[in-house]
Amino acid sequence: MHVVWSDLLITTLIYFVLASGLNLIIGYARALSVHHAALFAIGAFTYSTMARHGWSRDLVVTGVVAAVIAGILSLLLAAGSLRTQGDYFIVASFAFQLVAVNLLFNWTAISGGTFGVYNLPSPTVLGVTIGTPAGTLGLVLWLGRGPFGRLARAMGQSESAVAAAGFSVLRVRGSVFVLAGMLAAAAGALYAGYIGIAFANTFDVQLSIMVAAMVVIGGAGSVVGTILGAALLTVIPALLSSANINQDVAGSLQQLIFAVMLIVVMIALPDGLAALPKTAARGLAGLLRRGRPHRSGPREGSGPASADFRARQGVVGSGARHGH
Amino acid sequence: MTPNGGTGLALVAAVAVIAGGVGSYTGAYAFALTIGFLQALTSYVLPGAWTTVGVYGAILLLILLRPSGLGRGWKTAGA
Repeated sequence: MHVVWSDLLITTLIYFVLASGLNLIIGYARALSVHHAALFAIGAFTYSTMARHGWSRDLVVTGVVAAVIAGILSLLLAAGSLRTQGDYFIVASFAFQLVAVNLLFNWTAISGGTFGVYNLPSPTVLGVTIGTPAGTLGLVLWLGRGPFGRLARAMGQSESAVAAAGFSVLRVRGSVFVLAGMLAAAAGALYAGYIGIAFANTFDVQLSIMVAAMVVIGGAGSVVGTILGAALLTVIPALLSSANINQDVAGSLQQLIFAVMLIVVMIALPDGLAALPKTAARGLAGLLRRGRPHRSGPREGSGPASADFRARQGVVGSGARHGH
Repeated sequence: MTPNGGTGLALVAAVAVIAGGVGSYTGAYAFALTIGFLQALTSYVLPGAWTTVGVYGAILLLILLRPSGLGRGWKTAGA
């Protein structure tokens, strides 16, 4: 098999839309959710169902419908579970992921069960496939610079400070989750429309983890990082499957490469690939001064384990810690 | 048996530990038993394909409906 670069470009763009939502959650709200694949699946099966029944195969229409469904589900999940802190939210998120995908899988009228749905009619507005990532890019950039982005970032650093400033933590958190859910579902509709097939089983926790890996490897909270992460984690599997090796081996090799990349990034580049120039410069400056590099402790809030680190810190940062 | 067969079990174990309260042996133990019991119960009552939905649906409902009512360690964030 050989690599089709235009295909990789479109897949990367779709993953960018998907990962952007999670980037808001991990990078701004400093939470971790593992149900992103389920939201992606909801988008994919919204498209497939609407297209198969001849209701609509317009990506704008199906994308909006999918986003509304996922937005409502995210709101319900957020309303119930965001009152719980860190770790417990992950359990709720994990449970949501399993329940949603299994429901879809068992609901054969929608998902086709084991056989999936295939030969989906091709979407009518192909321009949207390019337009949505561009729109997402604009949205995320605007969010990052606007008051909402600052608020979300501030909340990621200290919830009590945001609450003390008179903002509802639940409302800000809820908004981030709903927005992320809507982006994921829109990406799902694009994805199903583009590849023309959908299997419920492919939208598993592994996919959620892969999307999280895109965000973390690229650099949580960075738009450029999300693009880099999405591109990298799209291109590597494609290169592996185009190489002349056994598919099983390629699959395991892919897992191995992702895992090693994650570990290396966590240790050497806690701010992700997007911060590579900055991190390298800082390290070099540290060496030149013959002192130890400035930051040796774990970076605040780059994962679930950091919740108590944040709590121990207990102090308020100014909302916008870094400018991008 | 496959090398990655442990992932599923590890995830269930993580759920039991977190939901039971990190740092609490009793909580983890109790929650692990609860999950096992729910699994057996749902596969007895419902067709096999619905086991996951049954078990995790119950856990999800529990968290959504009673975020602060499950023993110690269930702190609530300020609203």
